[in-house]
Order: sequence, then structure tokens, then C-alpha cells
Amino acid sequence: MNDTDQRLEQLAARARNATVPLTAEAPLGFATRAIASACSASDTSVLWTRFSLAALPVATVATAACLWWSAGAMSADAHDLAQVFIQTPLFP
Amino acid sequence: MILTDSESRACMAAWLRCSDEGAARTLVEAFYPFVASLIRRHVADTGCVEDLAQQTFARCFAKAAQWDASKPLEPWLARIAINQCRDHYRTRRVRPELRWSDLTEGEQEAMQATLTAAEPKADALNDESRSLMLRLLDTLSADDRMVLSLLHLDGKSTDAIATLTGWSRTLVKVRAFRARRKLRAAFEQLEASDS
Repeated sequence: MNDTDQRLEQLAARARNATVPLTAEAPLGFATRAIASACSASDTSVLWTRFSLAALPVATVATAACLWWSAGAMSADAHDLAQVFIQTPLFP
Repeated sequence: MILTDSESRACMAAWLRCSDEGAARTLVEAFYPFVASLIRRHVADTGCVEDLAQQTFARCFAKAAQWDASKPLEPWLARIAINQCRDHYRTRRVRPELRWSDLTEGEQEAMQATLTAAEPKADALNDESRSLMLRLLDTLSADDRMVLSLLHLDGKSTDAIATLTGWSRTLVKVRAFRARRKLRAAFEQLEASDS
């Protein structure tokens, strides 16, 4: 341990002995403010949950529509490809 | 007002069941002195103590469902309060360096006593030493500040710090080692600015 470490240790030991003023009771209206603050925080999370649940059916319908549309396009592509194979002569 | 473990459990259960304001009020009144004195030990600016205590209780009630009812409420509240203090220091700008001229007369006296290794009369310089220590800690990042504050000002063990902060024991040790190195540099810089 070098000099600086020893000095810091000494300073910390004195700081530990300092008197931190104790608070006997909460200030007037403190509990009301804390409870109101907790309620507003939980209100926001409830709002987000409601919004997410409401958005779920919309998202499901949009996904189904996308799948249906892309499946139609894929079957059309397969049909076109088959036509090309049929019409291509094997021995030109 | 002092609550037993079973009483505080009953109050938390009432709050969880039907957001019982009376139960929440009882908890705030019972635990305010504990939370306020914990915050006061780690935060230099006494004007912030009430705000941080309010945020602590608000978070406690908002996240009440996450509390493990088989354990006492006090350590959980302490953990929330410590995290609030850390967040408080994260939002403020780190003071790059501390110079001799920034210190108050009392802090200069405490520094002189430390440099000359003089034994101050009785407990005369304890408060000034604490104030100087908090100023030195202000030159560190929020996490470094918190680990040294818990270790040196509260005299907490590595295990206790790991429980309070949610860090692993190894992380606490590594962080304390690095933070102490930075604190030493800040102390030497302050010492050099005197000469």
C-alpha cells in the first residue's frame, strides 16, 4: 500500500465516522405524491398493454392478407414456368 | 412507525390486491427514514434526497408484483434506492477534475490533515472529510462512484454490494479495483494543484 492509498484510507475512515442527519418522518404530502407517481407509472404500462392487444387482430389480418397475396403470385409463377418447359423442344 | 416483517408483507399484499392507498401510506411512513438516510449517505446534494426517495417508493409500488414475498421488504427497497442513486449520477455530467480552489475551507482543512497525517482533534473533521470524499467521488462515473461509496463510506462487504447492485462478486471486485485507481489519480491531482 503506497502513501496515497494510506491517505485515502485515512480520509475514508474519517468520512465513515461523519454524522449523517437522520430523518424522523416523511414530509407532509410525501406519501400522496409517491402513490400518485406509482399509479401514473402503472397507468402508462396498462395503456401500452391495451394498445398492443388491440393491434394484435389488425396485425393478424394484415399478415394473412400478405400470405394469401404472395401464395397466389407464387402459384402463377409455377404455372408460367411449367408452360415454358412444355413449349421448349427437347431436341431443337 | 416501525413495522414487523409480517405487517409490511400484509401491506404489500393489500397494495397488490386492490391498490390499497392506506397500506401504501403505512409503508411509506414506516420506511421513509430508512430510505432517506440511505440516499443521504450516497448523494452529496441534500436537495435531491426527497425526489430520489419519492422515485424509490413510486418504483416499489409500480413493480410490487416483482417483489419476492418470502423475503423481507427492506433489502429490496434498499436495492431500488441504490439504483435510483446510480441513475441520478448517470444523468449528471462527470466533473473532470477537482482543484484545491474548488474546496471549501473545511474541506481544505480535512485535506491538509490527510496530507500531513495529523490526528484531528476529536471528531472535528469527520463531516468535512465526508464532504471531501463525496467531492472526490464526483470525479468518477456513476457505477465507479457507487461501488466505492458502498465500500468506503458504508463499509459494506463485496457480497453485500453484489446483492444490492445485482452485479456478480467478480464484477464488484474488478470495478472497485479500477475505481480506486481513478480515485487515487483524482486525489494526486488535487494534491498537486495545492503546490
